[in-house]
This record gives sequence, C-alpha cells and structure tokens, in this order.
Amino acid sequence: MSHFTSIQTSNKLTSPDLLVKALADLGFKDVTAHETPQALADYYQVRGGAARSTQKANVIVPWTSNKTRCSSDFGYLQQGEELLLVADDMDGKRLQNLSDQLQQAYNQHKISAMEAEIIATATKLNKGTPIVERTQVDGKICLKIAYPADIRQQNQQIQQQLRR
Amino acid sequence: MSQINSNQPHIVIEIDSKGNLTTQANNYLTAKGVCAGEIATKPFEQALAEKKLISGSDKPKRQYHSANNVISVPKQQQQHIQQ
Repeated sequence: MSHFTSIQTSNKLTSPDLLVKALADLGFKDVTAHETPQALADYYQVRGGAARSTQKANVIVPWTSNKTRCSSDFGYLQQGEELLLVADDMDGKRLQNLSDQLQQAYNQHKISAMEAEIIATATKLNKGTPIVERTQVDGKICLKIAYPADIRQQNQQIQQQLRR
Repeated sequence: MSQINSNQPHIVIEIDSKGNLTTQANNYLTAKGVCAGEIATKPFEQALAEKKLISGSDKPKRQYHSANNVISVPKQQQQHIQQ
C-alpha cells in the first residue's frame, strides 16, 4: 500500500529558500516553502480520492510538477537543522538517484548567496569591495576572497621589514 | 588569471559535492595571541549570523593559517576575542 516515508539521502540541505531554487533548477515547478509544515497530497488524493495520510513538510513539490517521476507530492521536512526528504515509498529510489544533482544545484545557490552577503557586509563595514574569485573542480566549489585593506596592510609590513 | 596572489591574505570558502563547508583564513599573521584571521572573517561570520544561511551541522570549520602552521582558535577564545 502506498504511504509516505522518510527517505535517507546523503544530502545536506538546511535552507528552504535555497532548496526551492535548487529544485526549480532540476525542473520542479511551483515548489513552495513554509515555515510551518503543510500537508502533502498523497497517492490517493492526487487521483481524486480521500487522503489517507497526514504527512506534512516544510518544502512541498506538488504532484502537478513531478508526475512524470513520482506518484504523489513529495517534500522536505525540517528536522533540527536539516531538511529531510519525505516521499511515497514507491518513489524513494527515483528520488535518491536525484540527490547528487540536487546537492550540486543547492551548493551553487548557497555559494552565490554567501558571495552576495560577503560583498554586502564588507561594504557595510567599510572594508572596501572585496576581490572574489570562484572556481569549481570535480563538484567542489571554491570561493576565494581578499580584502584590499588586508593586502595593503601586508604590503606595509613587508616594506617595514625591508627597511630594517 | 587569478587576481589574488596565494601569498596575500585571503579567505577560502569551500563546499564539496556532499555539501560540507570549510573556511580558511590564509596568510594572516598572528599578534599577541590573537589571530588576525578572526578579524578578516568577521564580515563573513556576520553575514552568516544575520541571514542564517548556514546553521547547525553545516557550520563552517575554522582554521587559521599563518606562514608555516595551522592555528586552531578554541571556542572560548573566539568568544573572548569577539567581546
């Protein structure tokens, strides 16, 4: 019998907003994030029957946007700091196969959000506009940040040492 | 070509394919037992605190590199420095 279950993945997902963007990158439309968990529509409900589940989730991927891949809504439920996948047990394997792609998309959004915040905060603290470089190798994303004020200070120190 | 010379003070934030996040402050000299990397990463820390982009198990690991060694700053000392 069809029922919702928590599905173990290797994903590290903590921000509902970034998760919504990552899911959109993978082609899932109309994904919503909720502070308070909302009900997921189960296998029976999406086919016009009465719901047999009361499973809730903070991030909801509606069946209308995932029906080529899944048999009902699926979602992510906030458990402590992490968002854990909740889906119909029939869809578990299919969604587990998406987990690497999802993590990569999530990581891109996370790094972009951090980069934007670092630049905004540095400007606010009068640290000048930082030089930011972003590279990606084998799925690992690297953000290098240098503050002009710190580089100037280092140059001054080197010059002082040379004078001695 | 990189604008940031590897000998210059800079911060590196890395996220691996599994979503593990690490940060390092490189080439910041230490002075009076206080690591200058602490000051350099302040905007980064503040951004995280304000927007809560990362939390809990996702918290960045902090390592401060001087020229030849790695200095770990204990949690207590971090709090003391911030005060």
